[in-house]
Amino acid sequence: MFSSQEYLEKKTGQSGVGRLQYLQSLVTEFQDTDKEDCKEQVLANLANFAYDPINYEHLRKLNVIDMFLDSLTEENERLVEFGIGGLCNLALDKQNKEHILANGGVDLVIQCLSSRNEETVLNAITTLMFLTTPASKPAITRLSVVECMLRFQLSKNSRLSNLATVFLEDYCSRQQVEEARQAQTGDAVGISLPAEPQQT
Amino acid sequence: MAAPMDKVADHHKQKQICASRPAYRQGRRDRAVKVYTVNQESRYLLVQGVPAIGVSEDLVKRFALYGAVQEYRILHEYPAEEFTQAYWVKFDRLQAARVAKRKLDEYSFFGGVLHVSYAPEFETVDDTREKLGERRILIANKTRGKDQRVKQQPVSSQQERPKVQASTSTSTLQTEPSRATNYQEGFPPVPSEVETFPALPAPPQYQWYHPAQHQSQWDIPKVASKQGVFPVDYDARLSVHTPNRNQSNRTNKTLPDNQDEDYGPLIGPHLPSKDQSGDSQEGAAGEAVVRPDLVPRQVMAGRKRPAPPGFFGEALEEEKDSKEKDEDGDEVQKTSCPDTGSSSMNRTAVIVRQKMRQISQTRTLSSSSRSSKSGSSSSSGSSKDTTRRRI
Repeated sequence: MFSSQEYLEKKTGQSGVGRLQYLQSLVTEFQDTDKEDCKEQVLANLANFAYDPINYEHLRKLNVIDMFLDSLTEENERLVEFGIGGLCNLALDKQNKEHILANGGVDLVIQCLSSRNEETVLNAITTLMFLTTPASKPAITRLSVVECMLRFQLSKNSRLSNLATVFLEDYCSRQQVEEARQAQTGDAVGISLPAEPQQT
Repeated sequence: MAAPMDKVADHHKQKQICASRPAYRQGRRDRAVKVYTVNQESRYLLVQGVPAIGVSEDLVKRFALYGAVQEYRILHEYPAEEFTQAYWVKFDRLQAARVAKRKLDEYSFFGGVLHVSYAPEFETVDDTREKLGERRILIANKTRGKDQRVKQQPVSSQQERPKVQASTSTSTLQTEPSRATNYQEGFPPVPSEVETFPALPAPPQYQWYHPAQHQSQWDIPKVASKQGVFPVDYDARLSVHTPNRNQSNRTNKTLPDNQDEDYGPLIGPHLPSKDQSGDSQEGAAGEAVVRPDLVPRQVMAGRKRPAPPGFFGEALEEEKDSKEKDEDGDEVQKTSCPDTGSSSMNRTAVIVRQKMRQISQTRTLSSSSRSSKSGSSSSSGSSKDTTRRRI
């Protein structure tokens, strides 16, 4: 599933470009380019690299986590999708987690919950789950989020409802869920449901 | 189960391949622009494009190469192209599904091209929970070691982490020289013997060898099969007209495999006159030789040891002594072309022993490799080389 150091060295060969250098050139291209296409491609590439922990060191060094966080506020939906995907991939590592939490990642991710893009929402839920620490738990399981999850749970989209169920069952206390339920039967304030997922 | 398949879900559709990537980041395979996280991946796969010709078993067998398939079914109501079907495959483990998808996507199968995609919508809540938990554990395992290393060296962590990782190329100057020196230190010391290559032994004289398929510096007479024996009246020392060379090639293949080197009829038209007298080969110049392609089994088996005394009769014993004297004088010549014209096994054995002695004395890398190859025979490598060059 993951690459080992020997595998990377073998693949690179003697005169090849190493992993750090390659990531560096990706980041450089992202910063220098004007074309949206290129930005999307590079961001997606980096997000896929974020899947493998062997790259975490390099990504931290190149401030790619900040790059992902910044992309969450972009207008381009695909950039948001790839950014949250990247965060989802690397949020489980302790150092990455601290970095994200220290830079206000929780709020940015919660904003993604209201995206129209199915994948974005799914990745956002998972990222919230991965970012949960005793310190961040209150922020992550605030009322509006729990309400949102309750609505997701009722969705016809099984991926969405499954993730919402896991979130509610494993990351929220019963009391929080109850409060949210009661708040919901009252007035539907807070985060709006994303559009039903069958979109282009 | 999952939501009904009214419309094909987005993640089942194949996206368009990205064609505008600059060369430096164009991968080996064409890919679309897509990000895979733990949410996209799943133990459940959707396989489209399977030709509807009753290939379920073959399909599942192919998928099972990558891991245990728990369940599979054909999705009859799934919108599929004409004459194709969509299959639903459930793996035991996510990792197997990942590999299967990577390998079998765009795979040509019975005339159709498979399109494999993840199908996380088929997961149950528990499946999802398990998937996320596995991802957690994997990352924790992978990053645990690194955390410990970082904690031990907190101050210089920034600079030392690249060293610890030892990646092939890093941007820090520090690591590159240290790696270069590491490589140099890592090399074993070159033995001084190797650096100055000792003079190689004199090349064998090619004309001693027959350009047959198999070579041998033995002039052991050979039999047609392992169970063969010398004919009653046969005296290996005498040169006997070889009945047929065709057989020799065939018999060579029936020779036992316990010897490293190959045998072949040794017909040496230019053998030195030391060889036995009077033997004439068909028009071959010089000596003769023998070589009926017969080697009795007992001889083969005992090839690595000198023939027991009296094996060839007392007459041969005497000859052996006389021959030895000759050979000692001509050691160089003999060792380079051990297959003398004489067909005597004793001579051969003597020659071989001399060669072994010579080899063990020289002690160079090149000769040591050769000596390791040969049991009692030597320079089979050189004989092989010369085969080709011979007339």
